[in-house]
Amino acid sequence: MALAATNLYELRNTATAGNLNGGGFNPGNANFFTDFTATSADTAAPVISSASYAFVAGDQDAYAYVKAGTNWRAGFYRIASVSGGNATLDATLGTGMYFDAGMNRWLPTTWTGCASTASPTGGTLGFAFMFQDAAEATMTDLASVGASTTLTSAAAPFRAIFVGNILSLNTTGTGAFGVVGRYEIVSYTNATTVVTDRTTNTGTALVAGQGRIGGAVPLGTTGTLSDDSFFERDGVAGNRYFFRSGTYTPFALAIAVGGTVSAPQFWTGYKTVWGDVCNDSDRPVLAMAANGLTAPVRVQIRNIIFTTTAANGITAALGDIWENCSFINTSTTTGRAAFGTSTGSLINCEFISYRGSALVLTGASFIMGCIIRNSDIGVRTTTSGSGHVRIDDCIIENCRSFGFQVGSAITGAIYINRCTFVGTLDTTGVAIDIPTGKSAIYISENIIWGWATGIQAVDSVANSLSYGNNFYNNDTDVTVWQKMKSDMAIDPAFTNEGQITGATATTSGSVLTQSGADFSTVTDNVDFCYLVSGTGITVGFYKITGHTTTTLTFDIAPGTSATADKVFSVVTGHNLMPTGAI
Amino acid sequence: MAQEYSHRDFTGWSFKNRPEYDFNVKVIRGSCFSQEMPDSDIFPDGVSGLEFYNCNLDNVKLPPDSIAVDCLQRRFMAQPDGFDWIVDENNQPIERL
Repeated sequence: MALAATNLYELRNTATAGNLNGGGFNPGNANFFTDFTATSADTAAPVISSASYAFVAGDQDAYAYVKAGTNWRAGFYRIASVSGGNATLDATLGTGMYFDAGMNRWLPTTWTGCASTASPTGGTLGFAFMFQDAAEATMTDLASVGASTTLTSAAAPFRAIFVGNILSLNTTGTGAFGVVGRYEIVSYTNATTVVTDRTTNTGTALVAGQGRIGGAVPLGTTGTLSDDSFFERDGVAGNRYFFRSGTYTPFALAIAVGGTVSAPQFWTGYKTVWGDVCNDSDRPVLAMAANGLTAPVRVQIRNIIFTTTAANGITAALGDIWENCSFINTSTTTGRAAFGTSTGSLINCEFISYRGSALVLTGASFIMGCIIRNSDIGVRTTTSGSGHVRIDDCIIENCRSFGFQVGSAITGAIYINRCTFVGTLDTTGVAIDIPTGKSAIYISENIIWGWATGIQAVDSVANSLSYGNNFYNNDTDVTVWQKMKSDMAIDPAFTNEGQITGATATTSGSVLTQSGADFSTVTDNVDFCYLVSGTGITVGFYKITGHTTTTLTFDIAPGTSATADKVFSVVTGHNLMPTGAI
Repeated sequence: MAQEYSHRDFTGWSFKNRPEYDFNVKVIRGSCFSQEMPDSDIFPDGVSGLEFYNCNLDNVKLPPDSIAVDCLQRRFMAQPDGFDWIVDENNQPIERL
């Protein structure tokens, strides 16, 4: 056997770093007890029991997994307390998790109780110990005979309800015949003996191996025996990883195994319960710094913020789907990308690169409902083969040089539909830039506002279309590119889009001071300042983390200079809902 | 553990001349302070008693009596061509990052 595709893994930044917890559970295990009964099962506090197992105090805070049984409601429910060998669950509406097959997602429960009747019988239940910071069991005397899947510990740490949990074997033991890695406890023999999904040794007996069962994984240690190896070594197609809200500092993730067409992997950020609403700063943060991250193939990633300073930022692979993620490259080195993809689908994501391109497309890609902003270049295409790029219903805001820069090497068609290209109130850059020799570029129903040039081409673009675009507040709407009769010039009258500028600011450390300014409309940790020029500073974007009436505090120090010549721009508001008659 | 500084993303941040940040005698776990230039002096002058565990301290110059356990402490230089290099104490390239 091998680790199962149905395995679920829990990540928590508060879990003990380097503890090498088990971190996972297989709800597909076939050896759960099938004789569970319950009382008050249709209330928020069901009491469960089994003739096969007497719960112990240490079982509290494990999650009962109701797998099957007449009138039982499948899903996870936390064990709130243990008494007299029975366990009381927290089955309050929305605190458990169930698998919605139609959506192919784990979601918070939409019911109270763990069954539809008060006293169900014949329940098949497993128990997951990954929803806690520390391991439930720590062993230092693990042993297995040559090539056997039977694993023993004389210290008798095993419980019958450990079945389905993941054991992390963290040392090779005496003689180094153990194989470090994660193993599923397939079945339970007794307190000293369990059976794992595959042998824990090289063919020669494991002696005195160290391992842990249960506990979440935090990320942030490196090497073969590391928390990060959780992804790098032990993942298989179909696995689901759940990141609880918080900031993670992975050291370097080199993830080899992804998903397949029929069994993609899932990485999902959540706030308190799997599948809950997890937006904005509630989303977990993976602070990759210089390491960047290359995702494996066919992974569906939701609700995660990635920050990086790596040259290529975060990189997608074949068949990846990214939803409600943010990609922020904070590097002060020019030309760095926040995100790059050759075949990805990007839905409701955000992209920012302080000094480079927010989104680099190197192949056929689909981008829908995304926000691309506060970057030198918003979207840049390089190569595409014969594939097409499609960008629909996106906002490209405050990108200083280009909103969408078409690369000279792209050969596939480009569709730009219903997007809002917003430069700045005092205009900046080019919304859409098309190099010479291009064809098959379709630009329709976009708002193009606040640019030095709206659409810029070098020569005639064959087989192209300009339909229903609204050009307003641009220095020049088009260069070479041909408008059509359906194109408009109507003030979109955005609900709230403002700009604060200055030209005589000074800087000290992370603080910019502009005498006479009024920064009262600035929103901290939302708005960015673009330093245009000035003595002793590095030009580019800076996130505003604090402000007074006349000062802005940045995340990154731009350089200290008392010379009052700093030219800057702050875009505020960001409510681009048009109120004009368009 | 200093909750206000642990499990936080401070990539690129400098805390010089930031009196609102007090780092004296703090235990910090799981945060990222990575910088892009070697020996970046980002902590306020005179800070002492800092302990870091499982933090990314790449290119960070630590206060003299600091302790760093299971942390990343590489020296590298970000390059405009995108090929960043691990460098030695004289900032000479050793290998690609």
